[in-house]
Amino acid sequence: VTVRERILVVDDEPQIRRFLRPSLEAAGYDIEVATNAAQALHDIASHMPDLIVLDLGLPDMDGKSVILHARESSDVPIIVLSARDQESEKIAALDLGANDYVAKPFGIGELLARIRASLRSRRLQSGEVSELLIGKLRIDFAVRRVSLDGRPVALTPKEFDVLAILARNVGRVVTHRQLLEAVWGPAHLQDTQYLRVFVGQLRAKIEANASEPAFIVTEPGVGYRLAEDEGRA
Amino acid sequence: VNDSPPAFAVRAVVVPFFAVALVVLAGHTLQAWLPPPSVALLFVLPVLACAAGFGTSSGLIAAVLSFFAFNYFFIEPRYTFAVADPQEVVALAALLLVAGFTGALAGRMRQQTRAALRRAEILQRLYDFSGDLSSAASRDGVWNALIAHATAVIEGEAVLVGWNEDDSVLLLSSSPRGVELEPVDVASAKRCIRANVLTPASAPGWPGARFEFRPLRTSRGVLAALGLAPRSGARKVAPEDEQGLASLLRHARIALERIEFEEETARAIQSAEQEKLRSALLSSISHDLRTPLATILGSVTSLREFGPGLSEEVRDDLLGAIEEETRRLSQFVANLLTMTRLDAGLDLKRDRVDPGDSIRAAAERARKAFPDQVFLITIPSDVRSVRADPLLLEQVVANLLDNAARFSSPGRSVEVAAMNEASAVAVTVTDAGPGISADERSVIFDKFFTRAPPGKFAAGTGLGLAICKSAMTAMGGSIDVQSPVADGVGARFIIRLPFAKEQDRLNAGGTR
Repeated sequence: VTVRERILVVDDEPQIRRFLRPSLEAAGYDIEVATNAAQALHDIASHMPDLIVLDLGLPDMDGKSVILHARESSDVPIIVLSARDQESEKIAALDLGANDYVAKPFGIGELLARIRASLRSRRLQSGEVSELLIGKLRIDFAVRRVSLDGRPVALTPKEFDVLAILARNVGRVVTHRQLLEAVWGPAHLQDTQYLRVFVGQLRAKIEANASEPAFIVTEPGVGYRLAEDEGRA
Repeated sequence: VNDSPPAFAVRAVVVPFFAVALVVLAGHTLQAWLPPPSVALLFVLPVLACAAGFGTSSGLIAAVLSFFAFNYFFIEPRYTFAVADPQEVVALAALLLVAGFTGALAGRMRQQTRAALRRAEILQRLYDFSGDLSSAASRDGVWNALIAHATAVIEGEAVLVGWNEDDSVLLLSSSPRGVELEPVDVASAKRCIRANVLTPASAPGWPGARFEFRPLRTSRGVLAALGLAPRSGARKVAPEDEQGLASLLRHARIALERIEFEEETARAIQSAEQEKLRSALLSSISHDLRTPLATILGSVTSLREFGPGLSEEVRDDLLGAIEEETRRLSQFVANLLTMTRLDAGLDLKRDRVDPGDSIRAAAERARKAFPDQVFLITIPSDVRSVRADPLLLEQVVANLLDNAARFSSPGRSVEVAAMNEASAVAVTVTDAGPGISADERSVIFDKFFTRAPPGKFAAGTGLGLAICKSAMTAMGGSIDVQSPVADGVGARFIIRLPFAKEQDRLNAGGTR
């Protein structure tokens, strides 16, 4: 018997909860609902969910404080529901440790894809997976080797690091800041231009058409995302 | 002080003669008892009196007269100007010296007293002026106060000349009212403002100018020219008035700069208000558009993705959510458009409208949006036509019904009624909700004021009642609110629109 994963939905808009609950249940998750930050913090403290869907605009507290509190004690995946005009809020939330975001309005399929990606990347992060196959792209974390359609691809160590981080978060956005900090260290947080060059080299080696990338997708102003399947974001 | 100069001068000369004559008589009467030197002392009196009363010159005249009179009447041989005893020459000389000195001294004291009085007068005037200025709320107030006080200082006519946008001059104020300026005066005023200099009335090249103009300077340059024409006919302002005038101009400058500052502050506050309104509008638009859109897209994609996997009940609820949110969006968009129209003051119709039509149309919309809510409508058959924009009126009633339904208590109806009053039709919308406190009654018509009904829907957009207010004002009607209505609960909104006039065009029914 597989245990259903439990999702905590934090949103103060009754109309949003109205369709989130039945569709997430239909997708096979157990749903818990909080209508404000205080209730969300209480739920997290009493029984940690497997994933949190969090609206940033809450009536009682900034949604980001929920991320901070949750991150103090756990690495539970958090998906932020954000508005298009809250670009900086969204990036701040991701840098605070949110795993991904979905901009309102969104189709339920998009949210479900993000939920699946976040739950899977949690397993990848924990090191249970040593090898990953994305379409024709095979990444072997243990021996740091990459092959495309069976042919080995020669990557520099830094290029492999960038790809490995994206791969461990496959389907999820990774911010510029997170990539820069992980690969080049905290002194290079502002060097997004540097990152762009590396991603360009990486694309030249693994993409069929580097000008229309199918693997490494750009999230404008935010970061990069490794597509789950070739040709499908 | 009030004497005119010629009469005053005559008296200053004549009075010493009388005074000295009086002392001669007194001395003659008293000489049996007084020794001659004491009689000489008596002559100090007229000198002192004349100097104090009419100034130094008058005193000196009295001194000389005294000298001759004493010699003539009291020194042997009498009734001649000859002097027998050489000692008497010394006495006479002493008398002349003392009398002259006393006269000069008393005259100077008189001058100082007069100057002190004058200064006190100017101070009082300045004090009054600054009082007038500090209460002046506008430039016109400053102009008028300046003119009134300048007129009092110079005792004559005064004008204040400023600029128009097109470089022509403008008479800001004058005393007496309606002073006509000759072209030479206008030219002189222009030169004063442009060159920032005093232009005298008798300046070469401006021979006919009646007024002497001096610039009113502020931190923004010369604002105006103050023209002065003393009544005495003098071409120049008296030197002793210069200081007072300079003070008046300085005070006026401070007052003008204060008004400038106040206006700037008011402008800054207003633009901050507008900025606040704009950002409130933006966040309202982004929130009130996004939530319904997110609900619709989320519900539709849920139905698509899981359609058969969802229970009949859930599918129905999702469809209900889509319908509700679409209506909410459409109401919001209608309100936004109405608000834009009202703010821009665009095409407002003034038609003959049957209020019943607008009420029924609004109620139909409300019944669809709130299927569980009962709406009771009472419209008497004789209700008069009103002068209104039919779609705007429908929007107002729809907003009131939407509000009433959202705050209504379960199981209680929302009542709508129309009735004829003396010159207007009143439409009331009454709910049995929690009511509106006195504090809230003062702000409910403000844009973006919102309050969520207890535990039901989310708060509204904060536009509905604000639009009702602007729409009713634009249509020449009014809107009021009463709360509580009965048993301490409920709220009633009353809108009033004037009866249609004969010439108002009949509205064919919402064609636009």
